[in-house]
Amino acid sequence: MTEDYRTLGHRLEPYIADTARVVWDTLDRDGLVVYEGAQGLCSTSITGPIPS
Amino acid sequence: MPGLAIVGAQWGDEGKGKVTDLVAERADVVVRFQGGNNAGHTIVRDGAVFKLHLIPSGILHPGRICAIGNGVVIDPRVLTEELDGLRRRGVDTGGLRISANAHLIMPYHLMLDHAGEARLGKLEIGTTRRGIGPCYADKAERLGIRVQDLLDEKILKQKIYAALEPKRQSLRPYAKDPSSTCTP
Repeated sequence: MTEDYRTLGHRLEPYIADTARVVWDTLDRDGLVVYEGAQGLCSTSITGPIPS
Repeated sequence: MPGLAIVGAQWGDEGKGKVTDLVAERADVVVRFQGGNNAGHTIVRDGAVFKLHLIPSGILHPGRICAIGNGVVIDPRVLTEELDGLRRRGVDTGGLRISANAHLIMPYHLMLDHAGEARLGKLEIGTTRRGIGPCYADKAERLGIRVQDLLDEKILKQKIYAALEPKRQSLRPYAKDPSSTCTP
C-alpha cells in the first residue's frame, strides 16, 4: 500500500500547494472565488453537515 | 470580500456543477472544499461530455486556478485517473492545486465502508461505498493520512501502521481476500 501510494504521490506532487494561501491571495486582490461542494453538504438540519 | 456559493437544497443532482461551470467563466479561483469523489458533476463543453468527481468544474476554462481544499477527502487513484482522462482530451490541468493538508482515502476506508453497510443490513445508510465516511472518521480520530504524507515514505508507512492497528477486527473478513491490498 505504501509503495502504491508513494507512486500516486509522485504523480500528484506538481499540483500540491498551500490552497488556503491561494484563496486568501485571490480575495486580497478582490478576485472572485467560487466554492464548489458535493452531496451531503448541510443535507440535514438535525445532525448538521454530512460529512463534516 | 467577494465570494459566491452555489448551494443545492434537493439532496444533490440539482445541477450545481453546470451552474458552477457557468460562473467559473468569470471566477479567478474555483474551490472544492468538502466531500470526495461522491460528487459527479457533468458538464457539456462544445458538445463533449465531461464527468468530474474531484477536480473543480472550472478546470475546463483555460488558465483558471482550481483548488481542492483541505476539507476534501481525496482518493488519489480516482484523482490521477481523472487527471489522465482530462489530459487525454486535451484539457490543460496546470491550474489545479491540491491542498497538502487534505486527507487521503485509503484502501481500508473502502473496505470499512462496505463492511459498515453490510453490517447494517436493511438499515444501511446508502453510502456510495467510496470510503468517504471512514476517511472523515479517521480525520476526526486523528488517524488520517494527508496528501503531504505521500511525499515522505517513512512518515507514510508509520501513519498507515498507526491507522490500521485499531481497524484489525473490522478488516478481518478481508484477510483472505486475494484482491485485498490492506497491508502497509
